[in-house]
Amino acid sequence: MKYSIKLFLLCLLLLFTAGCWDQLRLNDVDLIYAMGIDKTEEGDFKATVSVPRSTGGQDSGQLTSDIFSTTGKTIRELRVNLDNTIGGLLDSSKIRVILVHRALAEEDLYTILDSFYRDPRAPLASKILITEEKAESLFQGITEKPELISEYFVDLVQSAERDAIVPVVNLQNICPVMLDRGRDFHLPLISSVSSSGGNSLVTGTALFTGKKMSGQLTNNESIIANLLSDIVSKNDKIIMTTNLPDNGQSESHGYITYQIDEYKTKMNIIPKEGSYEAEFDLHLFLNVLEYPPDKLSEHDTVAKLNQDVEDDLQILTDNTVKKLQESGSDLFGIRREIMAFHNDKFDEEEEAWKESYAEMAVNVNVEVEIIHHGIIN
Amino acid sequence: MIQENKQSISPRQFMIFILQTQIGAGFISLPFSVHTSERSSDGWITVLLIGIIIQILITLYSLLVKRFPSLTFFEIMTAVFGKFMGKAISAAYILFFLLIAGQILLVYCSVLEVWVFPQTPNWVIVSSMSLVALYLVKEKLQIISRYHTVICYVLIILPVLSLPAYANVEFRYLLPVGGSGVYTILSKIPDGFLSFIGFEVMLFLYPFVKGTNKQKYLAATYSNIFYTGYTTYFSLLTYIFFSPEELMLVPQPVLYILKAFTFPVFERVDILFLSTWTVLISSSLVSYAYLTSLGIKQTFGLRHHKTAAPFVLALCTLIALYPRNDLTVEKFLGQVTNLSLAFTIAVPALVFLFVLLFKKQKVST
Amino acid sequence: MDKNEKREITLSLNENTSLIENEFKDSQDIKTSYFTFKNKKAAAIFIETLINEEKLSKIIFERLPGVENTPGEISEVISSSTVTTEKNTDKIVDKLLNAYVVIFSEGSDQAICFSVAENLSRDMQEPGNEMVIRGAHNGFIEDLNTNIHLIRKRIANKNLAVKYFKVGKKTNTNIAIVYMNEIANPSLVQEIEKRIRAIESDMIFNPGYMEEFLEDQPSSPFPEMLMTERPDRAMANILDGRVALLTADSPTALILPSGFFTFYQSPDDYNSRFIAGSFYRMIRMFAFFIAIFFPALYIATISYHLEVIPGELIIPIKSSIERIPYPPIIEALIMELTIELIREAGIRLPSPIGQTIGIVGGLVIGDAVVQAGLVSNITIIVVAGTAVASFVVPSPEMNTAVRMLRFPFMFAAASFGYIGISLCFILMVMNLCKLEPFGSPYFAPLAPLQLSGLKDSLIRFPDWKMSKRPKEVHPEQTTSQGPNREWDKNDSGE
Repeated sequence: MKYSIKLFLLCLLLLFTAGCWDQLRLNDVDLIYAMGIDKTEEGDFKATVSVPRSTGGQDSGQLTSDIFSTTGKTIRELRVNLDNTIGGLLDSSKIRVILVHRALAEEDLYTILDSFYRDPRAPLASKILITEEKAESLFQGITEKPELISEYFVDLVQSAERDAIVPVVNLQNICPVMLDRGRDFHLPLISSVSSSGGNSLVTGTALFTGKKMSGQLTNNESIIANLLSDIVSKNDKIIMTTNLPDNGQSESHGYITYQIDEYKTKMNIIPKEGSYEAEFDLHLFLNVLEYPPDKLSEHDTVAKLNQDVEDDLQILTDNTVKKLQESGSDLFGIRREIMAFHNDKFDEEEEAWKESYAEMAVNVNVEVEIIHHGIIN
Repeated sequence: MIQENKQSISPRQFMIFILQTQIGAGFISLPFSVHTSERSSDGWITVLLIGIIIQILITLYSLLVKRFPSLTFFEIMTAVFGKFMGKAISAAYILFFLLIAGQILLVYCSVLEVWVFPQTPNWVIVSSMSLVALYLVKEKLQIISRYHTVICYVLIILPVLSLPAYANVEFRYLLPVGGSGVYTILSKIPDGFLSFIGFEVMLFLYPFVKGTNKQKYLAATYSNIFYTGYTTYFSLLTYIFFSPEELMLVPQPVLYILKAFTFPVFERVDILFLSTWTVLISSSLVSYAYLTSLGIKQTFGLRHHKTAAPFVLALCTLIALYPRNDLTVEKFLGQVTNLSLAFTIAVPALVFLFVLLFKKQKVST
Repeated sequence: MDKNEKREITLSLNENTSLIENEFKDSQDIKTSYFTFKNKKAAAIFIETLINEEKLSKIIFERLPGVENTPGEISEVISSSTVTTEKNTDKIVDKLLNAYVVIFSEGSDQAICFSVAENLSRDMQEPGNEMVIRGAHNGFIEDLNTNIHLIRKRIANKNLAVKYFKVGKKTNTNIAIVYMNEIANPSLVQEIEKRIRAIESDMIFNPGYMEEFLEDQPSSPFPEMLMTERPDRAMANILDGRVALLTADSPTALILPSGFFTFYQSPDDYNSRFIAGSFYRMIRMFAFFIAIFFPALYIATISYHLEVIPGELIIPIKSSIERIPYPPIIEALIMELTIELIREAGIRLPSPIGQTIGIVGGLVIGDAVVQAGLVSNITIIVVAGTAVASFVVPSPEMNTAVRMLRFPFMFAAASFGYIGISLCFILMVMNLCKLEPFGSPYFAPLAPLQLSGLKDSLIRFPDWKMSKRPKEVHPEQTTSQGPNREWDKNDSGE
């Protein structure tokens, strides 16, 4: 009997406390789905957000996205300012994609993301993109208004992810790497098609050194960089085209297009008199998708094609590695490898490491093998 | 009524009781507390070492309580040191358990406050948990063990939730093994120790367990092995997920990992984890509140521990509400850690020496 | 007349009949019919409304002329196996109340009693509240003897014990406990007997009444005894070492002690293949969780943790609840209570109208409420799903328990979000662990853990694998079968 009275009192207590604190009702909030961050001329941050709103009743799912922008000294202040500009309570826990202007990324990316890492409700699974132009202009420039602006950007990145151009990363994934001395990361880089704004496209990846953006790779270079870092998944469809050197086979129109079916990559760090050398083996297995001269069942043709493609990719790879070294972005985690297996470079200053990284001999040995050629020879 | 001896539990229940008492508040921040340095993440070695230390302690305990098979540690004190000293030491233990129970509530409250309920007053969070715990603390040991058994199934959920983490791990963070230096690794042992306490319930429940000494010893050992394995798993996972530098910034790494995953139906796993963790906290809190009430009963000669239970939980609530900001919480936890070293290592070891030297041995009744 | 005189009957016929008639002085259905047997006057007294007059005349009146000249007493004439003689008035009254006919004859201080009960009970039917697809389609009826007959027929064993008790100070209701000697624990039986004898109530209304007098923890939301109208379910439980309690004039057997998982076992499980049986067992457990958690989860998610809703789903959900003026708890309560109303109304009304109420309530109200913007259609989905899930339990008592339990969960969710649900869940599990009806832990075999018991709880193992009786009822014999399917082993060796 005593128990039941206590239980009853407890229930009563629960009843009275109902709906007091920390309630955030879904009807009251306006969800930010996409956020773009730029820098104003005064040095403040400028945020552009897209807030989807449904018009019509319960059944008709008419969606429109409203775009707001405002400025502030910190990202959190921006949100407060935004909150004041629009009606409902702004909620950032559903942000799907964050666009950061290149200029800001080159200063310091972590400054912008700190408030997201600190907020328990922040969406750490959201995508992050670096933009060539101002993020605001990309927001405004989307000509065919999709239902959700965020979906437009997310689809853009996801299709690039499937083509292995950009790494599959989100806000959380990059954080350990950003703070790690031993490794660096790269992020999708987008820009608009025409200079006047308009639709966007992925133009490659932005390279980071530590917390700062330090360079960029083109699409093909990023693919090679991803292959070398061994982060390409089996399901990705990597399709590349090589311009064949003209060697008398006049009937060829000069190109071969292939898909990289499988690949193997191996990193090797060789200590050499106080410094280190990095050696990579990249073994690619190709499936020829388009090659009008045919005759792919002949051993000689295949061997020759293997060689031609290999030469071409070798040049691409060497360029990529050179770019990486110049920008100081240690995408492959060479320093981490040295730290882990050679117990060295722990306490080297950032600058000193950058120098030794730029001068390090990084050799990539590309090998190519055509293994399939479709259903005709 | 089918009467068995209501105050007896099986060795299996004993094992689960120890385990559930151990898995308490400290569990989600353990990888952070024992994190060694920015060089490499060697905290998991510390976790394993603590496990080994605890195994040694368990052996010591079982050698000690074997001599007094029908007495709890409270009663052993009186038997060894005489009435006055014994009661004084028992009272100290009671206070210690009270503090631990308060600490569990405190950590529970501060984590909830930071992660989900920033505006809810602390007293609401803490007292709702105490009230819930009170419902069980008043019961017999057997029923509490039964509750712990059910809660045990919850332990399976957490590793399953952690599986998506493997999409993004970097094993090289662990290398070189021992890179942070032996001294650093050893010096972190006290910091992680607080997450491991709970094994000392062995001293107090020993007479209630039905089984041979060997069975009881094995039960405590299995529990230790399981808990050490469990925490090592989560430590390793955090160490390969976070880079050593980032881990310095993340006080609840086990929880933070889950924040980045999305499942198709449930986008934020950390909240699911927190709800599950609440259940684990309840069992740990119940254990300590029960031990405190039991101590009060045995030391001050109450008829039933039920009488003490509401006061014990009220005091725990007050303890949990005392520290005002994150820094005082840190300080409080540091002091509790020191106390726990004293009460789980120093005092039992001294008692053991004393018993060995003076050959005090009470014939079991 | 003073009281001592009243106790025993006398030699005088008239005195005796008036004595008995006086006892029932305001009952006009007590009848006395006089006749002569071997020139002695005799009278048969009976309560007209309890007995079958046709039978009575067959047993005695029609035979009287034929035996007029043969030697012997009246008692030898009566062709009934229930003939006894009584002297004590109270006992005679008792017999009369139990549909006996009492015969007094001049010059005898012994009353001859025999039973001529009128058996007005309905046919055995399948109990509507415990339907199965396959399996026996008969059920208990409102007659104690028939019910015991149904059990006895299923257990042809001399160890089947049947013990009668009379409870109810005024109603004198017959009840019986049925159990297996050598399987059921004697101390369990003793405890039950003790508790039955301790009932000091004037009446026993129905088995639920009995349950409240016998159970350990009346304040728990969970039923502690399984009520069943199925003889096969009763039999299986009796063979597990439990005790069945049958009440006169009620088609319900109480199974005690029952554990949580007993309520989730349906005879259908054992008729289907064990994989299918296990699957549906799991579906039922899943339904238990849905029925309790679903509305609470909805409320908590909408009002506290909107970040857990997947990005693709949040916009439709948001647009659905956008214009609802009430907080989710009120919204959900409105719908939950509506469903309870419809259910209650549907039970009380005659079945054709009952169905109409279901349609009107379910379709019309549901649709109109959404149209009017009082409740969102997401809530309708949640509440409807919950309602369906709560009716899956194969026991109406557990079903009510589950439906009651969701309200505290909803309130907790409205005050503390998921953490509130967790706290409520903790309380529920604590309660399940605390319950010990008749000393057998309610939540076994999960707590305390019994591996052999798990074979028939969350899943169902093949019948020949379940060779241990549930330990929590402390049966005398722990194994229920020897090694089965030995031939299978021999075959596979070749």
